[in-house]
Amino acid sequence: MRIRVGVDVVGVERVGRLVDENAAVLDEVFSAREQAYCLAKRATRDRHLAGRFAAKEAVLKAFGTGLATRMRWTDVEILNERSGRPRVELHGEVAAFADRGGLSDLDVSVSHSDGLAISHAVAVWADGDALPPD
Amino acid sequence: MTTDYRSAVQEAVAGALGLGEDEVTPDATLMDDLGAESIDLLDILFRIERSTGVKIAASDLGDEMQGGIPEDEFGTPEGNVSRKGLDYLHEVVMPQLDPDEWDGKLQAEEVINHFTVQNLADMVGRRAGQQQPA
Repeated sequence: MRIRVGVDVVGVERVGRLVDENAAVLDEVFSAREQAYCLAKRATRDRHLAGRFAAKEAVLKAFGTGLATRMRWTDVEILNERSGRPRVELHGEVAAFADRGGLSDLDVSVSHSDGLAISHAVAVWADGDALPPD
Repeated sequence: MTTDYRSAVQEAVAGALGLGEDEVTPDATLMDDLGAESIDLLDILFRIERSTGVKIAASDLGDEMQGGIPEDEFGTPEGNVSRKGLDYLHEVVMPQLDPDEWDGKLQAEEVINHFTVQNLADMVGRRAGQQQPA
């Protein structure tokens, strides 16, 4: 078993500005479900978008890949439980990578403060040998 | 729309990273030298699209660098870029990478760390040629 962590921090205003200036950012980075959730939070839209962006990056860092070839940000989907707790669903090339590496558990946490969104991801791998070297 | 791709890239990088354009030299690497992160790449590529009309998605950068070479031919089982991959990178994407020097030494996920301002300008130029109407 091997445990890897990833953390990412991003400016809330910056994510909001990127989305405002380039509507295509929404579809490149966020799934339809993520967009529906965040855009419904009118007063705090940018905070929710930034939290999700940070969570996607944190997961990719915990995988040790970053956004590798053929991976898409929408492959890491950050959804919410009824309690508000974030949960991750993987798709596409990121899900395939997780399968190859024997991912057995994945968790993220997200927080916001002073205009920043931060996320921490923990990935537990049953077969760490399949991961990229440190 | 400008076709001076190097200037467009330098302006986009400087704007996104809050640097002076004199700091964004052609041989500066985006990630290592200038400190760009994923969200910066998104910002840079959208700025380039606005000034040149050339669209490159941040999540396509890896595919662009790999040039359509299948994954198992571009990389070795140990996670390094293969000789075929190095030859392609040298000939098309990163002329500064000497295949003899890097043979067996360049991890696939490290390729992006060698990507320079000039490499991006050249990529934008190639993509512009592909986007020209027939």
